[in-house]
Amino acid sequence: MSDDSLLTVENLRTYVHMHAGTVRAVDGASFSIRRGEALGLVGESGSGKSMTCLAIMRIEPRPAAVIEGGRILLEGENLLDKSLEEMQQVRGRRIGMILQDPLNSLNPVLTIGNQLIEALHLSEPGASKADLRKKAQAALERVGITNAASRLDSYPFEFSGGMCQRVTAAMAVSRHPDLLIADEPTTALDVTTQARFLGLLDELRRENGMSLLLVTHDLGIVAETCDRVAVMYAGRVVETGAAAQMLREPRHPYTRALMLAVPHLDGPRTRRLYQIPGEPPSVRAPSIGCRFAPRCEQASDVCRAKYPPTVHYANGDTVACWLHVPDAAAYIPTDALRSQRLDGAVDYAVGCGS
Amino acid sequence: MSQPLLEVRSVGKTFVLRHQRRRHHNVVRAVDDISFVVREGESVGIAGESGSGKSTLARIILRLDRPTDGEIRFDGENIASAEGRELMAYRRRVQAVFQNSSSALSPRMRIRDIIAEPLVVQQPETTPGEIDRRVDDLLGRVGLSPQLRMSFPHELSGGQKQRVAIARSLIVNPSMLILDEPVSALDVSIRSQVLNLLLDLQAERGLTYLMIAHDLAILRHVTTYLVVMYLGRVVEQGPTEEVLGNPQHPYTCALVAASPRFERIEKRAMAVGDNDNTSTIDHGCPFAPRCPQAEARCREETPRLITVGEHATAAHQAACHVLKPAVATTH
Repeated sequence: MSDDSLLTVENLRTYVHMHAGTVRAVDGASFSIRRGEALGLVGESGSGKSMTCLAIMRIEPRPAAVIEGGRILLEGENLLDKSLEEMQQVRGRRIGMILQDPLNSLNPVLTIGNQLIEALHLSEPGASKADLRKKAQAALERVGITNAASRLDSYPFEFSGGMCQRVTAAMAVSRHPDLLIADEPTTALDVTTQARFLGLLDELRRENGMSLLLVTHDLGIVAETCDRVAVMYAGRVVETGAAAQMLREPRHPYTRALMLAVPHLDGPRTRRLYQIPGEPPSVRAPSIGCRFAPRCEQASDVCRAKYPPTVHYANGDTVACWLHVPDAAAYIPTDALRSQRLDGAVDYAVGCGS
Repeated sequence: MSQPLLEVRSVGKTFVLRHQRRRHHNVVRAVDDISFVVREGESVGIAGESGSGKSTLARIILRLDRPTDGEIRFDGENIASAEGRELMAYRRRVQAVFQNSSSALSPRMRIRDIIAEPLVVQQPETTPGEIDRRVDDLLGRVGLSPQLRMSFPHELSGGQKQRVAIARSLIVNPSMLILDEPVSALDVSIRSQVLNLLLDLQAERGLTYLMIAHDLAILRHVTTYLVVMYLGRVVEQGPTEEVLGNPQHPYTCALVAASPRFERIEKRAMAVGDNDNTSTIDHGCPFAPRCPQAEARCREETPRLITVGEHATAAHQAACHVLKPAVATTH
């Protein structure tokens, strides 16, 4: 993709092998994050967004989950080629992570201070304890926790959800990673707390020149905090593009449907919301054709017969939808019904920009 | 205007926290002096963050808890201390749909029995044939295939389970539904299906809704009157469009400003702190510790609800000593 990309995920496939069968949690996801940018990874539950994040950190739940293929390039290096020892140099140092439930990401029996000091110690093994404590205090102050000095001796249960999440953010940025992955960091928080935390993430990103991969199911959050968006559906990225542009003119019918399906705080009240028919597909049953086709109002024969190629626009936007492929009907394979997997279609380049 | 169906009058609920080693007990006012009216066929919303007391209020209105103060009048009768037959009759008219349908449905009962249970309790004389007919009718009405009749809840998706919960609440033909965060556990694409279903059912059956939610956009979509709660007290209430379009209380302003929207807007600096205080406040405005505009008076004297807004339509009220001048809304 573009040269300034920090992380590129190419055709990532993570399957989860279970007794009941194999779940294709991530089934050919591709997107890239540029240096310093905030990318929103949006999708409903089961779309594979969390599994993608875990794969980037190489902490997918083993042995059930297996990365079956694809590449994850961090500054050109494929993380999937690294040994688990080598990955230790990447985790925390080059890629930081914040998880959804702040209480579960902190150790309940250690003080906030000790946990912060542990994180800081990793980046400066030589520093004295007093020094680290001072730094931990500064880190707490930085994320907006008042009375930081006395709060260092508190335990996580004495903190509110918002404060715990601030602590995890302080830990995640303490080693100045190039990329911060935040997996639904505000889902457990109240709206006013969420707004403050997203504001903090934005400040930290700008201060440290980090890139941010923000996983969320809320397009409103994306609109307010992200530069670009990647929309996932059934294990695949169906559309990527600039946030403002995409939320004005979504290219993929799924993105459009998602936007029309939520009520708004501003503007005229619509009495009926757009209803996406049916339910998200079962990731267990691999289907031929576009995963969204059964729920798509604009689906045609080619959509049901063959997975659409990814259309690349000059500005880096992508969309995987037959509606954007010229002459789509010509691609209907004659043996569509017999063929088991027709996805790996050739990528398409569209000359003109959006 | 239609008749008031539910009248909540100065309802309060205090819980006593007993400390084993200490003599003195702490009293938590989970809900304090709440009054509002729900008219027949109307939808009233209750907004608030965690700890605001909105779910406690729902439990009190459902009479799963007794209020320690005040009256709840349903169709003119005070049900605050109703028992036995009277309570049973009340429950035939008021049913509930909760947030987490997985825990609201018994995992060991079949869908048919789950939906039929309220009917079996309320009208034990109903014949099995009649039960089956009504269950099938409702399954169809909420958009589920009658084939699911013999399934167990774990075989259903989240959206289907919430539809079952809605069908169960409707089987005794209630007048009113209490909806406690009915769609917040659902995915966006399923959420709109359920919201549309709720609105259709209301139009068909003339149902009255009391909807509790933290998502202001959903409340705006469903309700016509809105009550905003903070730490057990009402800080603002009025017609939904009025409260959200022209919020008066600093807390409502903060909530509206903090809600994510598609259009990137210039956020007004709302210097509100985190919702950290679990301590009980005996006097003064509950929002004062977080309020950017708090004055000395706010910490001493509890503000009362007063009529506010441009139209002075008595309906829009807020409880704040430092009432904001007309708020610049974002459109």
